[in-house]
Amino acid sequence: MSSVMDPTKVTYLRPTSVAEAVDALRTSDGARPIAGGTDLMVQVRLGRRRPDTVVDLSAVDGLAELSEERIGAGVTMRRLLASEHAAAAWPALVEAARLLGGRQIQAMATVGGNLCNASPAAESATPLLVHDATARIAGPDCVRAVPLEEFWSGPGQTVLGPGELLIAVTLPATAGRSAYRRIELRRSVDIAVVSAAARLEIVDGAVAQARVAIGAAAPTPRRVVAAEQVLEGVAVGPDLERAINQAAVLAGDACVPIDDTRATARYRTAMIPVLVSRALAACVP
Amino acid sequence: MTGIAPRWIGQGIAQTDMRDKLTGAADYVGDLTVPRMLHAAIVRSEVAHGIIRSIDTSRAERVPGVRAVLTGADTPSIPFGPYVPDWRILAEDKVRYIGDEIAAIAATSPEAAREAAALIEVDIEPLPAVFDPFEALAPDTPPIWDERPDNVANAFAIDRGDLEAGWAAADLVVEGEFTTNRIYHGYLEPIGVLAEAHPNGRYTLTVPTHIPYKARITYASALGIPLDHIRMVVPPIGGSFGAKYEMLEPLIVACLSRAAGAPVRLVYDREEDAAIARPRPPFHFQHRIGVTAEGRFVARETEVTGIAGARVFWSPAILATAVHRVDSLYHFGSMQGSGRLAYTNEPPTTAMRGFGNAEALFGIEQLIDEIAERLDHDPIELRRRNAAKAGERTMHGWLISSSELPACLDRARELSGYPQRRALVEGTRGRTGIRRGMGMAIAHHVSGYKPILKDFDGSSAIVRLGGDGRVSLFVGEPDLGQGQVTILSQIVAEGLGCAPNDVQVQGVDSAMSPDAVGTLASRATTMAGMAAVEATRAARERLTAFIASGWQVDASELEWDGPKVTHAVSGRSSTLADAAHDYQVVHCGLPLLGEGVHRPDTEDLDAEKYGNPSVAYPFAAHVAEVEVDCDTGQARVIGYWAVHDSGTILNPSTARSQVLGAIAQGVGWSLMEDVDIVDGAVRNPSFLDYRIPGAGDMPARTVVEFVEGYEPNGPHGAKSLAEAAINPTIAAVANAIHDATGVRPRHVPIAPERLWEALQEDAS
Repeated sequence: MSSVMDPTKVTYLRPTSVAEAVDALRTSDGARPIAGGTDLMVQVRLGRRRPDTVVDLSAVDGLAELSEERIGAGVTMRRLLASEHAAAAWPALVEAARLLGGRQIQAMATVGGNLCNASPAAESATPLLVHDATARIAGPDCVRAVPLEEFWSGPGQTVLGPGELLIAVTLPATAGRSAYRRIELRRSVDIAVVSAAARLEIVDGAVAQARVAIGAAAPTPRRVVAAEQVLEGVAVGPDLERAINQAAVLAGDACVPIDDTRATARYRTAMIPVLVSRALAACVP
Repeated sequence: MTGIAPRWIGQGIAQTDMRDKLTGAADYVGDLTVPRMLHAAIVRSEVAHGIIRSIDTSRAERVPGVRAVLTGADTPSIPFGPYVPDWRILAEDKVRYIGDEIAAIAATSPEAAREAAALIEVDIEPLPAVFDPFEALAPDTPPIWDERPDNVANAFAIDRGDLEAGWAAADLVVEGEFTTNRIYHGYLEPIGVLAEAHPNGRYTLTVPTHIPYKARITYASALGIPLDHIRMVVPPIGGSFGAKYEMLEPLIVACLSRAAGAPVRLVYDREEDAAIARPRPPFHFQHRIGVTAEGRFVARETEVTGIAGARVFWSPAILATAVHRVDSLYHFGSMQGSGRLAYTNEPPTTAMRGFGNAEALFGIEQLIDEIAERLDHDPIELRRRNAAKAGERTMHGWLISSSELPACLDRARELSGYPQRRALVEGTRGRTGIRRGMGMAIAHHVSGYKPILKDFDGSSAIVRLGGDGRVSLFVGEPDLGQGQVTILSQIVAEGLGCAPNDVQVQGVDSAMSPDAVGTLASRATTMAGMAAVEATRAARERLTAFIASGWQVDASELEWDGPKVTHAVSGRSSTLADAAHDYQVVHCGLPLLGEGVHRPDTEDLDAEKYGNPSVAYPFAAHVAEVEVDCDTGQARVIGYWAVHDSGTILNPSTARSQVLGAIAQGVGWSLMEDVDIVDGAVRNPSFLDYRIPGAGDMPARTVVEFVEGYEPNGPHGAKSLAEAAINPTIAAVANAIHDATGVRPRHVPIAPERLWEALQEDAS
């Protein structure tokens, strides 16, 4: 079927610093970074990508750093699942990590890889959006910061330029609960047909801050600001229940999904309100 | 053996070949390398229907390492095929589906072969293609094969009894349309073959087929050579479920080997295997059942339309099964059934576990639930009342030599609490929120179906007791991973007094194994098992007579206890191994052989398709419990109870595994598995998007139980199991979903989107 990359014709580089990694990525237009390889190696095997240079990020200093406000691009799903801080601060993200692939994949797959692969269905994308994450990008000249919602430019596409490397996402200290919900066709190892993440910060019995994000419902994972707006300022109780229903409908309106072998656009559009309302309900104490 | 407790029969020993398989020591086709071996790649049509204008192989031939490039012009042009002569080794004038084989390459590496394949230029003039069976069968649709202007690949019709009187006696008639889908077998080992064309015009084909002798007939006719010019060697098979009957690939690779003058191996990757998968054929059923107010079935009609694809593999046998097998599960009083298989511009379809039977039961068992509901009858008692019973002959002449189905129904009720437990959750039936429901279905199957290959009905076996004490068994039925090697080892060990691990069940090799139909139609344990019992008895008798003669005593005075033999009068004793050694010395090197022939007491079908084609029939009663999320359409099976009558259970451990595997396949089929073909192209040729269930999809509560009867026509009282086990699954899940939601599933898989759509429709 597809031609397979000939491993003897691929240059393998293993930098140990971000600066070296950026240099390595600039050696060729056909250079690709590799972290866990759980997406790249499949794409290579299927002939969808043919890198002439592979830049292994596993030895890059600091890339796997995990702190209270920073998730290094090299942090694996398993690290997130083992982190008490992540469980307390970013429950939606941990839930997404639990659903991403099987255990072997979770051991290899990284947050950076998941974001840079730029699948509209990327598990970690919507949770990081509702936690107001910022992408930290190292390039030949400097490090720049891009709000995560501006990180993707289309399916499989990011704003990363030549020689640029996502090194981390940073997250402000956020309060309140977050939750992640998705539709899957199989309970054991599947990718999301559609997904939603939500976060509600409740102060003095009312919503102080709301975040809603949807996945696999548009060319990129996206926030639904209109849905957030109807929630903010609403008192917990029947008013919030009504507002959640409204937000769910608005999230459905924000869908521009595709038909594919997994689902029709119609089903995806219908499921977003269900998932958004369930995710929001899970954020109410 | 009567009166003596069996040593090995009924013991749940671990599979005797498990260690080799788990440690990687078992050599599958993909593990085999031979000197000078080349690698094959196949060039396939990317057009669903078209005329081949030209094929340019010149660039491919220049790729370093390429040793042979073949097109249809280079291969024998003899129409052939197991049912219909619509097979070609490589396409000649036309291509008829996306994936149709156009050219083939042999090269020194898989990479070179693939690179060359990509350089072959094929110019195809597209023709209108047809993908819908009803459109294909419509009067003005252009034919896919000129020989069949109506696009009917195969038709089957049968009727029995006084149907008019049956309908007249009916107080209630239920009817409905149901469709079943294409299922990819999803075996672990993709299709592969190693072929060697010898200079003397002969071939050795190493093929993981489970009907090697039947396949050899097909291959010899395609190559235009005598049968004995092909030696078939069957390596370990990494699963098949029916896909690896008679494959086309061995012929392509054999021709490559002939052209290249070297052995050639082809092993598909998962994507190629799944893209050209010859899946379970999809069917459309129109069922109708008449019943009296007392709950007695009196009439049945069925019309079945299926898809053969672009050429005919084994779909005709599946069609016939789908039309009339259920008439030997229930007495319907009278029936009329007809079926047609359409040619379409899609990959051919073929056999899969429980073929035709599970598909028909999907609708029938749902209609029977509808009858129970409308007549307010207990669904279990309604089934019990109409089911064929032990000792009865069914309307098509099938003789039910044993059946514990009534006891299976009782146990299914006790274990699951169905249908009484249903009352506890009755109030929860609905179309919103989370709903739970229970459903049941019953099934039967054959146990060695007769009219497949007239040359070799029944089975035969050879037990070889070597001078070194090693015991070997030769049969013509390959193990495809389902564990019959272990069962046969237990049977031989039981008869000889050795241990199962002392018995080597040889892989099938036409140079030394007995000829046979092969492993299909649930026949291996029953048929090869009976032959193995006979061969073992013959070996034991021959050895006993040899010892008696040597000791100059009466054979009746010799007593065996395990591998030890003692002369009761003198106390003199020997062992199996020592006696076997002496036997070989006395016979100038000839090992002791025991031959077994099992000629089953079945009846050929007459012109009206009446007769008893199988020696025995296994039965099953299944209950499924589901939970449905009505807002999303996601259903999951949360409980499953499977009670089986397969006669004596020869190995409870492997038997239980068979049923668990069937439940897993049934959960997959009913809820998620579907070969997604659009305009003739498979859209999901990978395990990412062709979903087979994982551990998380299996019901948390799964109960498997056997009601052990005794089947007089099977080895030690056993009959078949594995196919009967999948037959009720999709119907049981469908009935449970109906119980939960009130929605009657008409199609499998009952995937989230489809169920959600149905819930929307019914709600509005």
